[in-house]
Amino acid sequence: MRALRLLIICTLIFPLCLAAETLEAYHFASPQKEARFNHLLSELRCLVCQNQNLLDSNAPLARDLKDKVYGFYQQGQSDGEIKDYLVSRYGDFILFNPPLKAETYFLWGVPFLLLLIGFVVAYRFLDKGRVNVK
Amino acid sequence: MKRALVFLPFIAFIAVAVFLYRGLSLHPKDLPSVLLDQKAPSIVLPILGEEGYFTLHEMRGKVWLLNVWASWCQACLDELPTMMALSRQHIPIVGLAYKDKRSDVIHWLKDNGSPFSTVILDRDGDAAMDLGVYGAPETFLIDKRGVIRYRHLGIISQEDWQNTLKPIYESFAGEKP
Repeated sequence: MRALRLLIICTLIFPLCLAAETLEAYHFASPQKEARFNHLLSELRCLVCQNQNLLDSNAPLARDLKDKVYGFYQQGQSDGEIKDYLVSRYGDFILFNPPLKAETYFLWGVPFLLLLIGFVVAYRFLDKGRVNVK
Repeated sequence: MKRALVFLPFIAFIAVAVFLYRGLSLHPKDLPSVLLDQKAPSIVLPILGEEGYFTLHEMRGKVWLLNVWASWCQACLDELPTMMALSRQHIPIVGLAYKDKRSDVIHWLKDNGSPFSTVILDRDGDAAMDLGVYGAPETFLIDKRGVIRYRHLGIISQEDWQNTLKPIYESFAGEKP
């Protein structure tokens, strides 16, 4: 019974160890730099486990990409340069935030379009109400 | 006008249903390579069993397959029969050993046979990263001028070859270099 309990506890703790281990391999001059690095990783998609970002992912490809990003980061490259490097190889898909360009105008435009339609409908509805009261 | 508005929720429902239904048949892993219809990035990698380095220049004038593969990759073993069949048809296949040790590569090829005309070693996966490789197996179809014409993620089955890759291969094989 006791062994079983120990086993359960170990199983529960194990994933935490994995998560903690991820970023310990990287060293930064300051906490701000580390925060910026982590923020950059959180904006990049893990291509193997597609709904996870690079920061949280432990897939082999994700680790390689993290090492690469870390290398560039330590060389003093900007976030934009690092993203360009990755996009030129893996495509826009690696960015969680789709860039605004010809193919994505529809994607970015629809929410505003719907909002506009909403305003028009609301305006007409309210306008009609006013006439009725009179 | 008002009567037409009654149908609005129904129309909205149909629209949402159509999108959701389409979503069922989308494969999030089927991503076009950014490198499609572009010159393959320059690769310089050591060749297994030979002195010197492999470059894309060596494959000029041939339509060929670049098969990203590894001895540690189980799926690659499943793909091997297709590759073997292709090599019997004299289609040049360059095997890029992805993040693999030279000794393991030699062992695997000895045990399972080699469908590759050339095996190149990408020990730390840098060349694969330049190609935007997701994992092994992954295959690029490259034309006579070194332009990537197709990228296949995962195992190539006989059907994949017959239905998808073969027509592309044949259309570029007829081209003048």
